Parts: sequence; C-alpha cells; structure tokens
Amino acid sequence: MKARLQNVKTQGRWWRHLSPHRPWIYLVYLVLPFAPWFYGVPAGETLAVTIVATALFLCLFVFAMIRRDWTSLPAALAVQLLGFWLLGVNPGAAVYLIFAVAMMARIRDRQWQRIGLAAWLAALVAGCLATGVPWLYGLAYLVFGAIIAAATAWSARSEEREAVREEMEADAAARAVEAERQRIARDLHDLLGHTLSVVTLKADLANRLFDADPERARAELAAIQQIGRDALAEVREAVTGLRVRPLAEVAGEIAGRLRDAGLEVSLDLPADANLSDMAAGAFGMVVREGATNVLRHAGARRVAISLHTDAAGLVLTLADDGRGGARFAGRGLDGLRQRLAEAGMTLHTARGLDGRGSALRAVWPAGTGDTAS
Amino acid sequence: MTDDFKTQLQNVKDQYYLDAGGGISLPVAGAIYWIALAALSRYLPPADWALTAAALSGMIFPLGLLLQKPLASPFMKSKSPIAGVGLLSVMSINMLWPVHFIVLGISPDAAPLSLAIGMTLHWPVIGWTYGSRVCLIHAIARVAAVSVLWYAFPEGRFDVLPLTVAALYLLAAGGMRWELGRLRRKKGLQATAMTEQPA
Repeated sequence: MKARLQNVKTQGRWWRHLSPHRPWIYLVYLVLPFAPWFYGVPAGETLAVTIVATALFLCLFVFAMIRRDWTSLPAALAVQLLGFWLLGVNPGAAVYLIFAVAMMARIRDRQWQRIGLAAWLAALVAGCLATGVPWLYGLAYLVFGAIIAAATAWSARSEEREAVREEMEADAAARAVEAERQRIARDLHDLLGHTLSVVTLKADLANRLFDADPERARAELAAIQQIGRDALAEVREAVTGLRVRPLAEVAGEIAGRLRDAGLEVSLDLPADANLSDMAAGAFGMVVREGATNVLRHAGARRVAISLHTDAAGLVLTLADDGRGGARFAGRGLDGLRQRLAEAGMTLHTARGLDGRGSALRAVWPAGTGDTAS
Repeated sequence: MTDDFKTQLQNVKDQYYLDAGGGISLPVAGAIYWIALAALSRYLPPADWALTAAALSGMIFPLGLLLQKPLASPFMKSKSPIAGVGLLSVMSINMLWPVHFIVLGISPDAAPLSLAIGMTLHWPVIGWTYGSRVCLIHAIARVAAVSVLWYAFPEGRFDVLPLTVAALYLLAAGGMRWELGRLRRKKGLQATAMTEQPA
C-alpha cells in the first residue's frame, strides 16, 4: 500500500483520485448527516452518534475500497445497517445507503458484485419496511442507488481497462527498446562477423606474401583498409538504422570479398528485381551470414548466390560445394532465423552445389508485392 | 500572445470538443435531475425538498457517465491537456455547499435559486475549454431566468423554476450538438482543402 501511494505521489498523479469518476471525491457528501447543524442545534447525543457513525463508516468504506473483494459485502451491509439505524434521528444518514451500493459495485469479481448488489436491494426493502420509510423515499433510494451502482461499476471497469492499457503500452515500449537493442547487436554481429573474417584472411595472406611478393602484400593491406572503412560506415548505418542498401550492392560487395579469398562466385540477381527495403535488408543479412559461414567453416571452392521466384515466393539461395553442416545451426544461423521470422520470412538449409556442401534458402512469402523480375 | 499560440490553443479546444462529443450527456443528466426535483416538489415540503436536492446532486455526474454511450459524448475518454481546467471548475462549484446549506437551513424557499445559480458557475469555464459560446449563453440565460422567476413567480419556485432550468439544459445540449456539427464540417472542409492544394 505504501509503495503504491509513493508511486502515485512521485508520478504526480494523486489528483486523479479526486476525479468525479473515482469514489473518493464523493466523501464530500458526508456533510449531509451534519447538515442539520447548519440551521439548528440538534441534541448533543445526536451529534455524538453522528460523529461515531461517520468514523465507523469511514473505516468500513476505506476497507471496502482497498479490498474490493467478497469482504466488501459484509462491510457494505454494515454501512447500510448503520444508515437505517441513524435514519430515525438524522435524515442525512440516508447517504450511507448510497455509499453502501457504491461499495458493492466496486467489488472486482463479477459474481460477488452481483450477489452484493442483490443483497443491497434485499436489505433496502427490508430496512424500509422495518423502519417505516415512506414508499416515495424508498423508491428514491432505489432509483438513486441503481444509478450510482451502474456508474460506479462502469468507472471501476474503465479504471481496470485503463490500467491494463497503460501496462501494455509500457510493456510494448520496453519490448520495442529491447528489440532495437537486439537488432543493433545482431546487425553488428552480422556485419563485423563477416568483415573481421575477411580481414583476418587477408591479413594472414598479406603476412605470408610480405617477403615473397611485397606488391601483392601491399595490395592486400590496401584492401583491408578499404574493408575497414566500409565496415565502419555499415556499423554507423546499423546503429542509426538509417539506410538499407540494395541487395545487388550488398551481394556484389560480398561476392568481391569471397573472390578475394580465392572462391569462384556466381551471382544470379535480376537487375530489375523490385524489392522492398525490408526484403532487401533481410536478404542482405542472409548473404552476409551465409558468406561468413562459407569463409569460416565450409572449405569451399565455389559459391552461388541467386534470387528467383517460385510458388513459395521470392527465394534467395546461397550455396557452396564445401564440407556441409549448415543444418547443424550455430548461434549465427539461429539469430538469423529469428530475425527473418520477425519479418515474416523462413530460412531453410539444404545440400549445396552438386549435392555437396550447404545451401541457405531464405523465402520471402508470395503476395507481398516484391518480385525478382 | 502570438497568433501561432492562439491558433494552437484553438485547435486544442476544437479537438477536445470533438473528442468529448460536446460532453452533452452532462447537461442532459442535469435536466433529468431538475425534472426529478420538480416532480418531488409535489410530495415534499420545502425543507425536505432542499435536503433532497442537495443529496440528489450527487447523481448528476454518475448519470452523465451512463449517458455517454447512448448520447455519443465520451467526455471521460478525452485526454486533452485542458480537460483539467473543467475538472477544477467543477470542484470549485462544490466549494459552495457550506453556503448552500446555510441558505437551505435559514430560508428553504431560496434553495432553488441558490442551487440553480451555484450549479451554473462552472459553465463559462467549461465553455472556454470547448471554445463553445452556447455554454456561456446558457449560464447567463439561466441566471437571468431563475432570478426573474424566483422574484416574479414565488408560487412556482419549486416546480416552474426547476422545469425552466431543465429546459435550458436541454436547449444547451441541442445548441452544443449544433456547434459540434458545424465544427465537424469546418474540420472536414479544412482537411479537403489541404489534400487538394497544388503541388
């Protein structure tokens, strides 16, 4: 309770509890039992009884407003009894009958709420008969009580829906932040994983050629320099999420690096492919991850990258003729599969070129407007 | 105050008015309250009527909540930054209760006048938040009408006066509905003009 109060205070929302659709502000109507003292001086006993009754009412009311469960039922009935008992000496005590119905209407469980309201109605009829309340007053209490019950129940449900909505919004915001964080992490992994693999290969080559062929070694070092610059730009784009590069550009660059590493690369990407940013970005990730795995694990001599359309949709395939084993997915492929699933795509592994090696097949479903030609 | 700020403020008010559907379920609830009081005057002596009027006033807002959907005026849904001004004005009129009770006690005959005027004081403020002229006109008309009736027609203080207030409430609700229609048409025309602007 303390934590909740503190939470409400620090968020500066305490004033919302005084809104007319919350129950607390209606405590101002507790002035009604004291109304006779505005224009007369009733008996001291009446004042004492009214003060004690008000204190007792406040305890029961606050209890019911906090609990809002089946325990509110006896509390509300006690308030109703208090009202009828005091009605004979103080007509303003009729307000307790209305507070009682509000206490019943704020019970969270619908079944207990209905039982509570039925109990209130029964107690009202019994109380009016027992105390000889005129039929007109009884009818007024009933009509007024029904309106208050309906409005209170509506307000309570509205509060609950508002609380759920706020929680969902906060949850969605937190998930969006987490998703963005993971996107950046994966983009960095995809970019840097491939890039560092290429840099390592070229550095190793440059080291071996340093004495035997310094010109070639110098060329490899220049290529490392360029790869570093390109990777820096890609990292910046990944962090800001600003630009999605065309698939042909990404695939061309990756093909160049694979060729530099001594692989034979064939590219079959239609020049007039009409890809959305999302499709291009997703396929770009597949090419990067596939190429990284080829460089690190496959021991392949040939790689084929192609984009075509079939019944399933738009299919990007990256196949090699190496050792195979892509079907035993590592963390890179798992992460890639998850990211593609978020974009509505699927990732499959299969045998590679000439029945050897591995192939990655990423499918962008049909009907999205993206085409290979 | 710059023109930009004035325009911005007017747009906020217009949006609040549209989102809240004019909040017309509250004047309709008010009309029902005053009609009920007029009916009860046939059965209750002035002192009892006064106390009943005070007690039943707590019914107006809850009734307004229930009438939101049938009257398409979801005034509680709007999250406008100026909604709080209306809430404060409602709280302000409730600060008059100690004065009302003195009137009710000393001169129950004055109860209809005291309540009819006391419970109209928030209307100009609510009208400002909506950018509505009808609300201000209602407040002025009501004060004038009940004052004239109370002095000129003493035997009608407990039935004719409440019925007059109820009628003014219903007229105000109709007037606000008309204002909303005009505002919707104006916003619709503005939206059309914006989409048809040459490139």
